[in-house]
Amino acid sequence: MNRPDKKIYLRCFLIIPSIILLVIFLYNLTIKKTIQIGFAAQLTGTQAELGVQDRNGVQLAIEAINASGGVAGRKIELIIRDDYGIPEQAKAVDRDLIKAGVSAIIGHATSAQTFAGLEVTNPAKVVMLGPTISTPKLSGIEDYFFRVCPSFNDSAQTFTQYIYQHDKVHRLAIIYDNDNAAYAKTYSTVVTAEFRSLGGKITNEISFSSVMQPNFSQYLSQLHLDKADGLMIIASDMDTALIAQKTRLLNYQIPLYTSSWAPTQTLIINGGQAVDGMKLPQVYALASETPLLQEFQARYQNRYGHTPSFGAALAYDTTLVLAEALKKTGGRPEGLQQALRETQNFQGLMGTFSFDRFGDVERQGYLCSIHNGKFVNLEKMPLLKPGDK
Amino acid sequence: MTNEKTAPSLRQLFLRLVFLRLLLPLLILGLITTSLVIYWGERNLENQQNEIARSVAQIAVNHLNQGCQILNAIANIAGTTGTEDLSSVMSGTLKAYEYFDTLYYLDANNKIKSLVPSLPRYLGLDMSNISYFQGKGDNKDRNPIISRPFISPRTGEPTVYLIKTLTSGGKLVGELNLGLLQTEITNIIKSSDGDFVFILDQYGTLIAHPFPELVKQQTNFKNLKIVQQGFAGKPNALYQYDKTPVLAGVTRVENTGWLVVDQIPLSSFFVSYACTLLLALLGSLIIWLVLIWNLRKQLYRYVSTPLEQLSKVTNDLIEGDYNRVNSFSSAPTAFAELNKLTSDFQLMSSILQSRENKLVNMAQELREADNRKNEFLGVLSHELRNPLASITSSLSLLELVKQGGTQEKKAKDVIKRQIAQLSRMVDDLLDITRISRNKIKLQKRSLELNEIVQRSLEDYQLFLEQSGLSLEAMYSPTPIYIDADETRLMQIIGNLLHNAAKFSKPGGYIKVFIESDSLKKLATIHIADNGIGIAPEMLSSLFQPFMQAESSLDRSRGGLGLGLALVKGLVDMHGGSVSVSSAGLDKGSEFTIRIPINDKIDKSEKEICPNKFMGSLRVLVIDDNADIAEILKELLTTIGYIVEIAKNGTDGIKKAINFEPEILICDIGLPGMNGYDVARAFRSDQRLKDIFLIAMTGYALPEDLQKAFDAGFDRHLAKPVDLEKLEYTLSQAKVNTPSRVEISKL
Repeated sequence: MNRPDKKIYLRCFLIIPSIILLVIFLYNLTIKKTIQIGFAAQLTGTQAELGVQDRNGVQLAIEAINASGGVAGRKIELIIRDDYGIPEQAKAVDRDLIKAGVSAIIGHATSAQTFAGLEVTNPAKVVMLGPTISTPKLSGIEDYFFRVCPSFNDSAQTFTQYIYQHDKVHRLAIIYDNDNAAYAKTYSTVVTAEFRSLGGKITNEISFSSVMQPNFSQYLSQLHLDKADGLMIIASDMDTALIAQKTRLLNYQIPLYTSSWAPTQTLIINGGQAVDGMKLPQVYALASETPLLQEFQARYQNRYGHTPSFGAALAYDTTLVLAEALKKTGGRPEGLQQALRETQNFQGLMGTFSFDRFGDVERQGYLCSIHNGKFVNLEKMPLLKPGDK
Repeated sequence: MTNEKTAPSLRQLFLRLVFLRLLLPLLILGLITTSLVIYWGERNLENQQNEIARSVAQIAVNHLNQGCQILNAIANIAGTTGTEDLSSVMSGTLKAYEYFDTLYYLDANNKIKSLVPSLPRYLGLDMSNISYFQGKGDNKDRNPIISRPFISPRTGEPTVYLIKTLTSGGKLVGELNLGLLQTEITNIIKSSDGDFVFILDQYGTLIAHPFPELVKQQTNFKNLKIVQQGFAGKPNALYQYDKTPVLAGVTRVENTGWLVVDQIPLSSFFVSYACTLLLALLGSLIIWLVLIWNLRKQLYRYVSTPLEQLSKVTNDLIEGDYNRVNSFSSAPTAFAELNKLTSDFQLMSSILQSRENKLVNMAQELREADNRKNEFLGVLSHELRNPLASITSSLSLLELVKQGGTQEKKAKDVIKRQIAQLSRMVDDLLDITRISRNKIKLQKRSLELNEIVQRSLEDYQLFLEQSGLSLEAMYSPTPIYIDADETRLMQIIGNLLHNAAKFSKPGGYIKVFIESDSLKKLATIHIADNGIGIAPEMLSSLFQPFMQAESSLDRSRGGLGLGLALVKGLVDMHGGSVSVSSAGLDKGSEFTIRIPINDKIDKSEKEICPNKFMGSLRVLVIDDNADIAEILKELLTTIGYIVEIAKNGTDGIKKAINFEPEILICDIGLPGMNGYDVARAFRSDQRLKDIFLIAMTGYALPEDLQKAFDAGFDRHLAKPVDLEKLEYTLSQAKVNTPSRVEISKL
């Protein structure tokens, strides 16, 4: 008589908790299923625009990927960190992201932080993908760093040739932001070398520190005195805008040129009439009619309320190519480097691209200008090579 | 029995009932209540959230309005005093209202004309590429334009441009710091319990958030469900925020399209509402379980245990173990029905036990009776064989000896004696059967006991002398009248005398004495002998049928052992009693008969005592057996009757009409019309109905007798009939027929 009842109680006491435990366990399994990707760039401060654009592009891509089922059945989770544009902070956030278990890191927005970050990610064998890093100093290195834009070596040289030959500028002044020397100083060097090799003269090469918020008037007065007939500004969007405005304020109607670091909305908004006619090279096909890019631009506009710059588009491409590689590794970081290297003819927003074994790409470059508050393409550049170190 | 496997035990039934009928409804009720409370709690929470969001939205509106009013005021000054001295007004205002980071005046070309605080770095900058500044002064709105918020590169804080177009063509621009909103939501978060408030611009980018760095990083929340709901004009949403389920309310900020969201983690909501309920539910569940456990225990003690015991005892009962059943005392029961069941069970068990005992005894008695019967059958065959053997050998002798000789006479005597013996045995058997079936009808009338005893003794005088026994009789000095059947009474006395003679040795004596006890109104007949006596253990069963005191194989005494049983049966029928006493074996025995005395003596009856009939009555004999008919005719003719014979019923009726007999002796088994039919025919015929009808047949069972009487026969005689009995019966016909009428007339 006693047995069946006792059995029922025993069963209840054993089965119910085990079911609860099982449910919790299964629930935890489903929770753990996301693939974590880190993003690190400067998101605050005066030079934050490129980082914010990069992050928005990555976010938009991940939202699209997750909406279509994720990678290998798992959703992607983005962990965002701000490096404040400080190299030491870049290392710290990369360490933090690796600790959090990310499969890869997308970043940073500028070369200086990228160099710093690689000191952390390469030893940890964590893949880092730079959306907008074009310093030739990172070309031809077989490591865990990949980038979707080519070294500026080619574009800077072609751009310099254009300035000298097309615009007939023979006395060029250069002003660059030494805070991002890895980019700016290198760019300056390339331009200087090319310009000189063409027979031109670099009248001035001025460096400044963006964080010091200098009043550029005195630099510009000096250029004026040195009779430069063209000014190459290698600085962030905001600084470039300010320098451009300052030249006009000084009534110094010198042709302005800038690197592919600056072309953002910030440049236009803050540049006023001064940036109209400014010329620059970039890998962003502004007036491209490809449906993919148009669709992306519309989506971005809808999502963030403003137009995407090159950073957003390249970050979007970066995220998609990373997701494609992660699909091959089943979402695991192991073998990701190899999977990325094997990625060939990947369909990006502006055409296909392929990584070489150094993680570098070839892309079409464009010579652009600003006209009536908008970027316009002037002409295509020759295909930009990944470049050698 | 088939149900036993499928039917649950009481405890299982109890648990099932308790679970299904009590716990489940309770749980469902509890869940419904909980759900309702949670629902109302949630509604309440939503209202609270919307309230908080509205209050924050109002702060934002006020903040913007304040800024606009200040800007309007400056614009008014500019309109009256011109724009020349505007910077001093602006710097005064900036000091008075610290939420403006910067105030500047743009000329018609959107160049910064004057700027406070004084920042030469920006003075003169061209702002024409900022879309909000591109209006050509045709904006006649009283209120300034509010730009989309942005992170000020200078302060790193969310800021809006307030742009007031001046009548002079220039623009007055204020960079209004929205840090105030951040402060406000921080205060709300600090003061409230779990509220998480954030503000977004019309594109979903953060303006204020509990984590200010997200604002600075221009984080966009447009994809958040509550933001989409907010843009769609819906006030609430339930969604995941940072992997936590949250409930949120959203409100639009007037004139700007911004949203204020107040979200609260569901967990904290559940802590405040559901946890209390859940605890209550859990508490009641525990109480319930304890109650059920206790109830179950009580049920087991008061119901299950007694029932199980009862079931066990029932098994004992089935096995017939009354000892355990009787020693069974039930476990305590809590209700009357079970008590009743227990007492009923005990009652049933005791009744069953007594019934079984009775049955066992009865079976024992039946076995004994059966044994006696078997024994009797053995005896019967033995007893029948002896006379038959004597008759057979006598008949053989008759064939050999010459007629009229002494040998012939001897042989005939032997045959007569043996036939008498056989008839007596058969009569006894018939009588005992009749008595046991209550079929004997006594022809009672008033008799004088001394006279009857004397006649009986006379009948046996010769027999006793031949047996070498002396007889001594002592009669009552006064006549004793009793109501009795004369024949049966003589049979009783004869049987006892016969019995005494049988068990006495030659030279013994038999003493008979009669006395009356007028007080007890009993007449007593003592018949004592000094024969072989009776063992004390046999005394009690002496009067049972087929019982002889000595049941040895040699059967020296002969007889069927029916005599005493017959005596007892007949005495009982007379309302009297018979008893026996013996001092032991070889000490003789004494039988005592007690019969009630009849006080009302009808002396006249003595007169109608049947005498030996001397007249010549006509007798018609109907028998298909010619031999029997002829012998009967011879016999009756010898004793003086006029006899006619008929071979069958039809013939008999014809003859009777002519012959006019007083008596008809009719066989039952006749060809064609049987004896019963004949009797009925006689009774229905006016001419024949008074004839005294005697059935003479081999059908001698009580049923047969009854049938005969039913058909109309007056007497029934079993074949073979001895002459004496026949004579006696015929003599009754004289009494019953013509003279009966006369008697009744007296």
